[in-house]
Amino acid sequence: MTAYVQAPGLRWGPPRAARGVPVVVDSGLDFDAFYRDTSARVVHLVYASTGNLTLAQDCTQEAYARAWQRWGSVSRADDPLSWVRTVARRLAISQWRKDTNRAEAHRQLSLVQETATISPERVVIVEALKSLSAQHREVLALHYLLDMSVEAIAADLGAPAGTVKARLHHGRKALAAALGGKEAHHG
Amino acid sequence: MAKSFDDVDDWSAEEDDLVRRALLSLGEDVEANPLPGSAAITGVGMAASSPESAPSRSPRAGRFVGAGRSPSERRRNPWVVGGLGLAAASVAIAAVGLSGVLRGADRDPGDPASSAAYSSSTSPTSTSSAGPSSSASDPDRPGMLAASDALLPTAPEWQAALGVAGTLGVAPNTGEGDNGPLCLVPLGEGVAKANEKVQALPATEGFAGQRSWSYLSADLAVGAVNAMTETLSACTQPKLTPESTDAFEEHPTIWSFSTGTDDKGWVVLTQVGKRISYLEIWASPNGDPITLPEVARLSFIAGLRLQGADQADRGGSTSDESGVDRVVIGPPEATVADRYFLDPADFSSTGLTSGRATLATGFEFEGSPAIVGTCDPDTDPAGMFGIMRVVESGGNSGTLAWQRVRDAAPDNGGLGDDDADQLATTEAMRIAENLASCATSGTTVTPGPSEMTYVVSDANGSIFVAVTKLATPGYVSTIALTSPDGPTVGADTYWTELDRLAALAAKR
Repeated sequence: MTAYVQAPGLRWGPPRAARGVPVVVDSGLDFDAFYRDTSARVVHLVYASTGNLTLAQDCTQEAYARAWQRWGSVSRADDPLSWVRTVARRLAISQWRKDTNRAEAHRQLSLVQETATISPERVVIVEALKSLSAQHREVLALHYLLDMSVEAIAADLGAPAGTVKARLHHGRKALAAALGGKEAHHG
Repeated sequence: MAKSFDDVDDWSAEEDDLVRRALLSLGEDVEANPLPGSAAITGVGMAASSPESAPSRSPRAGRFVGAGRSPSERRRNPWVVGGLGLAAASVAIAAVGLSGVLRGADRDPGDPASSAAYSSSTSPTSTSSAGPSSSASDPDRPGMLAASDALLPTAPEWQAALGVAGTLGVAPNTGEGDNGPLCLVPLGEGVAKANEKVQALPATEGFAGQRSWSYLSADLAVGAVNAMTETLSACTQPKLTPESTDAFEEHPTIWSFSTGTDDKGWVVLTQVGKRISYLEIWASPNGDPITLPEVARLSFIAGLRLQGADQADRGGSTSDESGVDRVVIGPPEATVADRYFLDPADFSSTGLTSGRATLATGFEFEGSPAIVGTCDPDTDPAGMFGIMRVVESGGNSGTLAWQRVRDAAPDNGGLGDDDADQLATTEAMRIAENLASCATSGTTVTPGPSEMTYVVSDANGSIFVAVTKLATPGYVSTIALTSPDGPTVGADTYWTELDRLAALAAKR
């Protein structure tokens, strides 16, 4: 088999013009204002999806950084915020899966460290969230924080509506049970 | 009539309020820990690249001469024509546009899927046995496939399809600027298997790209390809135009798009069994416009490639393997074929799972082949290997077992079976010896009752490991049994099961 060596820094993809993206950025949507007005909501969503505030902050910043890199196209999307939300959630889930698999495969102690400050009142909630699967948390966050319908979540996740409905059902029951149990336990 | 989900939902308003309040209250933590200003973000972004930097035109070498082919050459697509109704539905071969999200091994988890809805109306019930005869022996397409088990068209196949007399190359795409397929195509639960660019050598920049993804089942792949097609159909940047041709007429929906130059760009999406491939062409390698028949031929070859992999999944010519759904994940273009792995059902036993069924399932491949943590000496991401993760069906989703198979003698050229077998023996011994000497203050390693079996234990639990040389020269298996819920059976059971599984693996 012939071996081909790739020079560093080369990109895979057509020229920008071929993707229908103008070179000149003039979307009318200011990135700074977009970031200022929306970033906390994205952190909140990812925080609820993962139960990890530090991870949520990191992934949100990375998502906005990626949006900035391709702002010309992202800002022209029908819903730039949806783009950023999706990126941030995927980054978080990807990291979560890596952590999970690493833990499973290696049986090592988790090295994840919380650096953001979580109030004592929220510790119970975070613990309850972490008792759920990532898929359940994600559906709950989308439904309760973004008021998305089952159909909208299904479209967003690319999953059948029945699957989303089941996740929502089981997720909220489990969370309610976890919260109830913790609250009772903690008095 | 069956009850709908809503019929049995016993959710109360109080519980609903409890969950909503809890999730909303997390916002207070967010407010108390604000992000830095946008300057920090744009600084990060610019460190990688400025937004929408000026495009660099793909090379148009102009030194290749079109070889010319018969414009009348026509082929029947065997995996579509062979089954007609079902096959046509189960093996969607559509040509479309691009954009989306990589998943799995080399994916960029950031690129978002579009808002295209899941397509529930197009998934057929029968999807896995789409193809008729093997490509290698089909007299209707002599010489179309190069000798390779690649998932995607090879460089010679690109060269032949496009009629390029010069040399084309296919190289892994690892560029930071990879934008993914066009139109933010949703990929479903696909695991990226290959991501390559096609070059007009000696140019290093690609004039085309190709990717492939694997899904847990053919049904999922069909759902994914339908969702991709739906998204691409609605794409406006660029606007994709369906194309049809008499050449390779089984591809009625090849798409083209404007590249902003005299050239057309092309997109091809192909699905066979549980795999999807995606080709994107945005420039000619030699200056001659790429024609629809050329793209049709390329898409036909892409289909043959996937068909070959699909048949290999099902045991190739050995029909007794038909239907075994292994999910093997490894490096793009270097993943050991599924047939060298155990049947996931083999892990089901009275002792290990109390009789519950077992199956292979996907996981996030991080590049490392290690499955025994820090005690695993096989950490080299290079070479050819694959990993299978086994869980209980319908039960605990935690890992029950891992199996890794490495080809210790890949691309060995003229290496004989004896030499390959010797390499496998050496590799198996290396793994075993490193395991045996892994003990540290927090980890103990105890040899098992059988040769090259060990239990690695630390404060978090134990992993029972068996290293086995396969019957196929050059291949080494490592099986690691864990317990999702902690030890639920005695060590004797693990050793018994490990011996059984190792013996099965050794037969492959």
